Amino acid sequence: MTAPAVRFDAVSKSYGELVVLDRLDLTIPEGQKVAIIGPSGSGKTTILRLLMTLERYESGTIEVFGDLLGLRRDGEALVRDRDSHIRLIRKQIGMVFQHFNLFPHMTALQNVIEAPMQVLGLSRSEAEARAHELFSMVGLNDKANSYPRHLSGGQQQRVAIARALAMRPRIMLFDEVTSALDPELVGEVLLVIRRLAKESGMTMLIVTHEMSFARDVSDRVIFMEKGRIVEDGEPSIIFRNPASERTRAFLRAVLER
Amino acid sequence: MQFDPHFALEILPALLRGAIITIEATFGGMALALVGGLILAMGRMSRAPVVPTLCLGYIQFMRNTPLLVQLYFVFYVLPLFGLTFNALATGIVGLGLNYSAYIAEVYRAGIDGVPAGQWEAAIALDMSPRHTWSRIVLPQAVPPMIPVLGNYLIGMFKDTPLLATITIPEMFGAAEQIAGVTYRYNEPYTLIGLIFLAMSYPASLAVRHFEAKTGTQRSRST
Amino acid sequence: MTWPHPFDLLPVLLQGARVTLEVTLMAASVALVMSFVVGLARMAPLRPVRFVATVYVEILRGTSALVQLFYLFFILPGFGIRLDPMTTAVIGLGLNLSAYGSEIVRAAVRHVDHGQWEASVALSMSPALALRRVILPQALLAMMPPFGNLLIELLKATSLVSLITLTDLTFAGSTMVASTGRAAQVWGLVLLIYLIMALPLGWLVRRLEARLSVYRLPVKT
Repeated sequence: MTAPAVRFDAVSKSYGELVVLDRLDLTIPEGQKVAIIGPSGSGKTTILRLLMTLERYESGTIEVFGDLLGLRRDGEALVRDRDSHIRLIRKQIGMVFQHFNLFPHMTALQNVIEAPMQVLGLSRSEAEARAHELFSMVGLNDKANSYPRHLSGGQQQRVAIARALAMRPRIMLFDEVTSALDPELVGEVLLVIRRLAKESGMTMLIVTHEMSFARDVSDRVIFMEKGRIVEDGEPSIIFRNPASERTRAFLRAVLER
Repeated sequence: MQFDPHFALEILPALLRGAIITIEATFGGMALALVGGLILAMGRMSRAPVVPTLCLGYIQFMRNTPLLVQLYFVFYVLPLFGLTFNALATGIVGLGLNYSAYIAEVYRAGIDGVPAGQWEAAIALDMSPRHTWSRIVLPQAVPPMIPVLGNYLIGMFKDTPLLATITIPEMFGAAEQIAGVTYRYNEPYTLIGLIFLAMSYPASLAVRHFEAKTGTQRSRST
Repeated sequence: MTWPHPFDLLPVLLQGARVTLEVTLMAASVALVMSFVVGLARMAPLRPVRFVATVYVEILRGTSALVQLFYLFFILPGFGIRLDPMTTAVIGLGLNLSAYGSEIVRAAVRHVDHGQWEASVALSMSPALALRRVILPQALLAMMPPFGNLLIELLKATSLVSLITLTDLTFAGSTMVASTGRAAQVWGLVLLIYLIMALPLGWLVRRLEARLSVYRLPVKT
């Protein structure tokens, strides 16, 4: 049996007094599309940020395709891993951010080819070919030479998705990618993610507030609250007939809008 | 040139006497600059015809020409027009005139930093101008000014060696004298370097600490 | 042909002004390079490197520029290093101003939106690559106005080199006063010439600032 894409084993993280993740256990097999929902502060974004090594965790272990992330075994003990090795494992993971984080001093095309060329060593023509393929996929063919400040939020986010995909990650993380968008621009981004979910074998972790989207696109929904997983199951069950009262209360509040 | 600790100890009293003059000049100059800066800042806001332009001209002039040459001017030229001071006073006048141009800007920036909404709320609440200034505007304008003024004080302190060139017996001049007579350069200059550091470093730490406490980030690197 | 007073003073003074500009330009180059070296060193991952850079900055900022110039000029010969006034001036002023310049570099890099770092991490870029391709290009734009102001400070600071016998504008002024006794005219003219050199720089810096505020880069809120 192949190693799961992601495995959290009793992972805890706090900010000072505030406990953000509380001995979290989570296993995600390869190719699964997981939606993570819950109130703010529940720890959903922290899971993504820990995977992307944007933050460090205090206890427990995280494994990516069987490799320890951020740690290595030194005899009996676990010590901090070397940066170069961490980067190697992390290379399999890509992330799209709520505030896009496009490089403002580069055009959309330059944004997408930068890492493939500099990190993966692709030639310019190879990187550009890949970029144009991705621009087609996200529907931005004619915007390749535009600067981010000339693009709408939805367009910028689609460039960000193309940029992340250009690195051919095995795991894609989406951190509330439509929360900062004007309502009329949300749909175009969700469309791209839906296609991605349907057509690719990537493992996807999607933190979102868009409930119908979460239900449609995912194989599995996780509801989190206060650093713990409250419910974990198929979308049809979670959304139609959740087991926990807290899940029910959350869904009621959200779907009330 | 080996550092001789005995010689260093010998000359320390003379250097410290100079340091006292240095401190006097610094605080005197700062006091003058604080007052002068206020006058300039008010002048810039005045509604009289020529005054704002004159003040702006003065500020531009003082900020774009070297302090050293300004000191020469005050020391050698003003007496020709009947304005004679003793050496230390000349230094204080020179420093004060120069720094008032910078401090005027600190006052202006501080007042401007208070959001327009505060003024509007005061008007809506029917507060008198005096009340508005003293209870609403100044309490908000002044705290961010303190670190900047602190940095200018430290800057002025570091400018005092220039006063030696117009015969003021401050610390650097004392070192120069000792070096000129004994031909030993290492001890005098190293010692005053250390004294400078000993006074300016804690002061700048205090300024940074104050900045952090009041959450203001407006330090000018001087 | 004799020029009327005070313009007959100009030839000597302008010679001095030329030296002033020379020193300014050369010291500026030193200061620029060292500002980046020290500024980046202060953000280096290795603690000893950060420590050395911090000591450098605190000492050069905490003591007077004139003292530093005198130190180089009078004390180095005792250790066998004899530098001419120009070299002393360029190194002394260049290093002194780099202590302030390094803070400009550091502040500009820290001011780049954090999301840019995170995106670089997400794209598997090494910190050095991210700094080079993503962070510094954005920081450079923000650095330009403060560096412009620092240049004006440098121009004014060059007057100190007159005290280590370098024949700059201020030195020329002293010489002229000594030989002609016309202190008011000499110093008045000298101040005017400095003003004429500094004002265009200040105007350029303000133009730069205005231009940059239009170029809406994401700034950390």
